Amino acid sequence: MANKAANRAAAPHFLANVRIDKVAFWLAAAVISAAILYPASMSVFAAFTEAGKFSLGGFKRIFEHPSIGKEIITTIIFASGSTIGATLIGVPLAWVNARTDVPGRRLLEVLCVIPLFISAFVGAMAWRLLLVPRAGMISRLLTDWGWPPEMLPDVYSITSMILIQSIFYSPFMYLYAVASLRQMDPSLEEVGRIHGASHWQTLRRVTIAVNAPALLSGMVLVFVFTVGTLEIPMALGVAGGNYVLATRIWTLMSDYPQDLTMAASVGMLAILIAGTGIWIQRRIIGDRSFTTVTGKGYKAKRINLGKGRWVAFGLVLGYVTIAVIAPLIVLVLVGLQKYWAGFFRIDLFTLDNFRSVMFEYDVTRRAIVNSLIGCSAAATIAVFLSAILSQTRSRRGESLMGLLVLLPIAIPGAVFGMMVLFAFVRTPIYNTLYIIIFAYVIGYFYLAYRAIYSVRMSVHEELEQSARIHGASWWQSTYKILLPLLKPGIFSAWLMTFVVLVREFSSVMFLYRNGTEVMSVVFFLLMERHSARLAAFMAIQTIILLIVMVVVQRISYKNSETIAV
Amino acid sequence: MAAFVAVSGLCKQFDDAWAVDDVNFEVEEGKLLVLLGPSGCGKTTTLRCIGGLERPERGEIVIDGERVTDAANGIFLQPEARGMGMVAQSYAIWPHMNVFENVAFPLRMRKKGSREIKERVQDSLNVVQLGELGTRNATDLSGGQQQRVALARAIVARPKVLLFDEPLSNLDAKLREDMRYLLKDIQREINITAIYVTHDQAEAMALGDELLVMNKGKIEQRGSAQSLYSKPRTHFVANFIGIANIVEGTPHDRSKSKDGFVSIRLKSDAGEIRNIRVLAGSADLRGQVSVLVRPEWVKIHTESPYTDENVIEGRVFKSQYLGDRTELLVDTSFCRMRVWYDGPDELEFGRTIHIELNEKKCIALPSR
Repeated sequence: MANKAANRAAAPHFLANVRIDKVAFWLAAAVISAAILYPASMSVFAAFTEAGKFSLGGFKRIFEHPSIGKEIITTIIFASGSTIGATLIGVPLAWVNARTDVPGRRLLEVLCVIPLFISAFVGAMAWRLLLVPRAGMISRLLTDWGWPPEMLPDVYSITSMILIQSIFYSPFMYLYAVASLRQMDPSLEEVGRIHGASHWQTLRRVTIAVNAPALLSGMVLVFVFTVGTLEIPMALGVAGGNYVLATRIWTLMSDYPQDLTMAASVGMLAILIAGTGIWIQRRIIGDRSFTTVTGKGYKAKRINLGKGRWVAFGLVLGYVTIAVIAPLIVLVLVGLQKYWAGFFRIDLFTLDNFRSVMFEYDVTRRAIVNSLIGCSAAATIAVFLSAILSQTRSRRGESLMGLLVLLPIAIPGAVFGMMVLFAFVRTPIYNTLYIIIFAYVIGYFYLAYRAIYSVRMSVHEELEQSARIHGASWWQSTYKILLPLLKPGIFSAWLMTFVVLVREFSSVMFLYRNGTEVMSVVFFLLMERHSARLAAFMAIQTIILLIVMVVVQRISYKNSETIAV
Repeated sequence: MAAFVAVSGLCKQFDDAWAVDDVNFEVEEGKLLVLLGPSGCGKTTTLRCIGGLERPERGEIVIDGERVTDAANGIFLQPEARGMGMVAQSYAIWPHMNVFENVAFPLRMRKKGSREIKERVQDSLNVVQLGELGTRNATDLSGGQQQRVALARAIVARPKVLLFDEPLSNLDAKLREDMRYLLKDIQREINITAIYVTHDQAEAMALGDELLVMNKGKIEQRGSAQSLYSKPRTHFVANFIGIANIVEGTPHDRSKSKDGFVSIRLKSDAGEIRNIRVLAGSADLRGQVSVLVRPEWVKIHTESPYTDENVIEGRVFKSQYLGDRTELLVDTSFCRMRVWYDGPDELEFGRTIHIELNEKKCIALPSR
């Protein structure tokens, strides 16, 4: 009798057998897949229909279009050139920081990723101010020194577009390369030297070859980004007559009469180009990933550059100064002038631009509020979903996630914005901030996921299991063990997602309306009208970003000081 | 026989500390020299200097008559020009190449023809007993197999010198023993000069024709496994190789007897005095000396023996039966000693026993 009672008391509630983590995982996975597949299928639908009927009219008009062939070629040149450029900038920077004894590494590490926090729009504007014929600072200096005017670098040329795009997307290459180089066992290189390979042979046959998978993933990311980017093509390409597919989609969608079918078809073309890039990457590396091979017990010995380390330091610092910091300083100086006389003049100093952009231009304040709300909401949702989705330890779950995460990466930004527009054009969320938040979450979900996933993997399964063994339920072990351990990682993932979202422009461009402008849109609106106010606004945005970063870091420290190990 | 590898006056500095401090040694052709010592003793740095992976501040290295490093004259041959082979601690198998390509690499660097490469890679793989694995992906192999690939790669180009940097430390115990025999066999078979770094004394003793014990960047002692074990010249060597009981005492005479023995007076804290006779070894007999007693250099008497010459009395503090012997921890008036006992009796806690020191084994060392 007593036995029976004890049995009944110990019988678990029927819900206890339901693995809440699994339910949450499949639920979140379903939401994400729907959120990706629905807009994608809507735009495929749009590409093949006209007035509700099946039609190949969009593709027919592409075929007959006088300039779209040239735009396809420009897109390919722009994207491949920028990929190569970003690689040539990012990888050497990563190598110097990760593998050599260059001094001041902590400073250099921060400097190398600065462009990540700045809209390529701003960069393009800054370079325009320096290089524009006659008024540009550099062009004036060069002409004053007798440089023939027809030989001046043309900021609107495809070469300039590629160079500036390379500078502003090199941090992605840098981050991929630096992580991979740090993980590599240095004795792989040393053994190469011992067995007869010179410095250069070792670099080529060992270092680059071993890191190829990571470098190629970074390259494919930059490639797809560039296919779908609107910033540089709008700031420089349109004025120089260098249209790409992204700007063509934009024109088809915004100019009267709209041609949605053709826009959707051009979107398919852009995806085809991006997909070709991904396909080439897959062909080269197959499904190999070399990062799993790490020797244990080696000490990561840095390459001794001798006196060359100061040369390396100077080169990195010089590059960042000339390519990134100096143009931005010039831009800020422009913001502090009544008008730009080609150089900074103290008698023209004014704060008017700041005042007018903040207090006379009501779009600005709206945009700041919208950005803060939209980006933090999207970052929170993305991090929350990632946290649920990274729970799975099952192989099937992980490979499904791998696919889901990959899908939005394959869709160029401008095309993605168009897709979201197609998906929600007749719904109540059209014309609201929600549609922008939606695009933010789905378009940049993989960023948060990758960050959370790597933190999650670093928390060993045994830590949770031992909590369960010692009597904690799934909820308790998640709440008391896992979350505290993940917290610092969660905060940094949130911050990174937030910052990148603030910068995002290419998809938002299709989704904002009067009243739902965000900060990156303000740059676009100010671009042609008033470069001094754009400069002022860049300064304001930087300050806002800094405040957010400091606040988040404060909260994160407060929350994690108890588990400082 | 002339030295094949000669290292002299080698000094290497890291962050203001001398990792290697005036190291001199030579290796004869076809011999295997083991550099043995605790982590941070400078053994790996010495090896890396020989390979050309580190550039020493001072000293010179001559390999097969060629001056590959000469700090004083600014000579430093790049690693790839030294014609060496190396097996690294982490194996360092290149993950982007299959087994064949990994092994073929040194030959490709030496611009050999494809037929020769094919033959020699296959020979090499056969030597390490991996004959059929050429097309396998290197990263699909087990740790022991990766180790063999690394070895095949190191010997394929018939290097002048083979460098081993703790190659077995990542393997599990059983595999480590098998690999130890294989390594030794291969090194003898192809008659190659080798320098082997390890912190494992058993590995060092099994492999090395000669051992070089290093401590704090300097060489403590050089010799065969037997001589290091039975005739250590310092406390460090005595403790690092094997188990050491050390008793402090004062010699009766200032010089050793004709047959190499010395009589030493032990004095306990309580004032008990006992005289023992041991090998004089390398100790300076003019002052205090230490006496080394290895656990098996004694005979345990459970009853009082017929003589009290070289006998120390003690009480069993701990005993552990291990099958082939019993390990005893014994408190004597002079020190606590670890000794082996292979007799039939069960020696329980507190039992009084008599430890007879073997005068032909126990040896005096310079006092610390």
